[in-house]
Amino acid sequence: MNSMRLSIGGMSCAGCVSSVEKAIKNTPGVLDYNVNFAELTATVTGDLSVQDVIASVVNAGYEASELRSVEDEISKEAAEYTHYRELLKQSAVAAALGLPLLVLGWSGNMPGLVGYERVFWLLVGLATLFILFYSGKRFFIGAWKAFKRHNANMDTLIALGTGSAWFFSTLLVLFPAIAPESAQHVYFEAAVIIIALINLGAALEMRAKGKTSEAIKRLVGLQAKQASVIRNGLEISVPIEHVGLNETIRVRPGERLPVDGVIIDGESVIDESMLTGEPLGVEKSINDTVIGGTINKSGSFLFRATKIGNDTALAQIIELVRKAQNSKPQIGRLADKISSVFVPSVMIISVITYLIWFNFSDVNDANLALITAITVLIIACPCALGLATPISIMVGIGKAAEFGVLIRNAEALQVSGKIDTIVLDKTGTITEGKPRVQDVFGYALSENEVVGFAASLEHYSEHPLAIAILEYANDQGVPLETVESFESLSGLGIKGKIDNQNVLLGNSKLMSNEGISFNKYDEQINEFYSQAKTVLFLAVDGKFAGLMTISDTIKNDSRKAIGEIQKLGIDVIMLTGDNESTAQSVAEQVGINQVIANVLPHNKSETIRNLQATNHIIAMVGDGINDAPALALADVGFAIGNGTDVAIESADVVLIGGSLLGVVDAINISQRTVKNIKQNLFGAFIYNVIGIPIAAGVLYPFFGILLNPMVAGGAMAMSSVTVVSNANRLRLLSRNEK
Amino acid sequence: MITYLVNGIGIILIVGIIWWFWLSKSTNDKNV
Repeated sequence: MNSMRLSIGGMSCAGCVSSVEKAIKNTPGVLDYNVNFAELTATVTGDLSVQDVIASVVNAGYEASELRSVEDEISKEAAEYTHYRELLKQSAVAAALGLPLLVLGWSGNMPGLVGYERVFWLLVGLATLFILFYSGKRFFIGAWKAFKRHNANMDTLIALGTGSAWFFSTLLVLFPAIAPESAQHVYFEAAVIIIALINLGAALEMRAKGKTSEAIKRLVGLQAKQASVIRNGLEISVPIEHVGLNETIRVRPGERLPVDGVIIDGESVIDESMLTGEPLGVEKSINDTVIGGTINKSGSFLFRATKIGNDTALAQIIELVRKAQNSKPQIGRLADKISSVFVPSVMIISVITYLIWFNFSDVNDANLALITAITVLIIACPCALGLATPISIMVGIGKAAEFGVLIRNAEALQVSGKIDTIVLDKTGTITEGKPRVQDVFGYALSENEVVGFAASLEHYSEHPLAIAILEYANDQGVPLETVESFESLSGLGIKGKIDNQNVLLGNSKLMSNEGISFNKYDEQINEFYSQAKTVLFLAVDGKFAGLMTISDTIKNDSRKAIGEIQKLGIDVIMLTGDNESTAQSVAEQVGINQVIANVLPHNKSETIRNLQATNHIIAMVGDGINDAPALALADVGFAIGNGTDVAIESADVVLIGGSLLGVVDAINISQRTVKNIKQNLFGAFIYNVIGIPIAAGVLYPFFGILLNPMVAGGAMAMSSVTVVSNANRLRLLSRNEK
Repeated sequence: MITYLVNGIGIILIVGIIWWFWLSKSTNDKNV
């Protein structure tokens, strides 16, 4: 199975996307494919070679080349820039002929079609032909290619509009007698000015489109190019493609990490903001995982490469964002359907317009038929319609990725904005999912002694809480002591001898079994229980000496995020396998009113199904493993990632940073993007629905208003630029904007 | 005379467009 990315040339209009898609789809061996009009690329997966795909695309009348390395991407960008410059040049050349003609017309000194003045027009006609060839060649070639495949696109309209303006004008210059004197007007300047304006519009659109794919360019730019690998005891610098699995890599302060791995020596603070959106640096030491593309801010360290090439988190993020940006939501399908029949329909409208004016207008308005027919062709813009959806999706999904929110497809983006109920898993989602020591009290001992005794005993234990106590002792710098005759008392606790003293650590049952009393602290202890904390009692030589409480900490921003979600008018429900009182206590701390407790992991999806039966649009937020069935069943599944794990298949949205605030970001971006798409679609529809009748001259009999074909050319060029610029407004979204 | 000619060409164009872009398209093309 091969996965490849291609740069596609010659796609001038959204209509071309379906032609290229069809060509790829019909290539034997293709399993999955995507064509991105905004980025002018295609991604193809299947049992076939790159050459097969390229051959199919070329056969369909387009150009294709493989994008393999960063260098290929750079050369694609350089080619795009050359094309941009070319468009500007073509526009300027066309304007150089069109503007003087326009000024001549305005000045009222336009030569007529008699005597030697016809020679002037013959020369202008030849010059216009040259401009149509030099600046407008691509429209005619594109139109012809499409025509041969029974398709019509934007190129068809422009080629027909400008071509017929030139043809009728030339005919008139050669045979002035075919028209009455009042209709002896030529339209060479219209043809060249339209070409100039549309090329200028295409250049502006290309520039604006470049900005829409900025997010992905930024991600690609995060990839380091070189890595300092330790081989045979020597440190050598190699290109990252040559880094092998399990090789040791040195990273110095200020350097970018080349691949993913685990620290084996040293410690540092790493800036992961580019991937997770989390602004603060993260402290890392031995055995911590590090991600390629992040920046080492302080110390120098060595790490072992665990993921290289396309397996690194960054490579997977890029892949996921690209795929998502190419996907189309339901809302855009209608526009696709309309734009596929749009151009032939406009051609028919243009012919009908001609016939109506030809048959019913005054003989003094003999030019009306030609002018209106051409203007109809020129003003119609299928491009704005075709661009409206994909361009906003591209910007919206890119923007989300910048915030550490990976949205898998356009459908998920669309549905996220409609969520009315969010179900949050407790452990690992609202809380850290990792028990931590919360309080230490020494009654017969100092607090440090309590920690020292507890940690020394737990050093020998395999209980999950042991890690929390050992970590705490380590953080506090409390040394461990030697333990003799260690014994684990199942279901109760542990005991051993430290410095010839008998030390007991365990639950209240262990204390009462040993006849150790702690009655006078009952009130305080009950308070801990009500906060859902686990209490560990320490006794030394048969006397109660102190206690520690341990609980799963609530993430710093959980309360804030839940508050933000509720402010959006969304119901928040907490789902947990814990008992009612623990669940209630956590829910109270973060401001959740609805709790569903005592739910076994395999029953979580059942709960989601029951909620959906009440006609709610449900989002589930949880980890990607235990909650996978519930995430897959929910209308939108949000998986809390842990930095490196981005390929969580069961989720529609992955929050790389692990913060619940990502949910708020996703909902905000979704609502904004859907709104943006609707604005674009509405604008593009209205533009055509109003523009075409005006161009056809419906206002002329009543108000004498007639659209100039050059104005129509300008309006057409601006309509696509407006759609792209409107989508670009999404780039200005800031985090947690309301 | 010229009126008949122009109207005739117009109608042929309309029929031609409908035929070329819809009717003569293969089923495979339409599904795209």
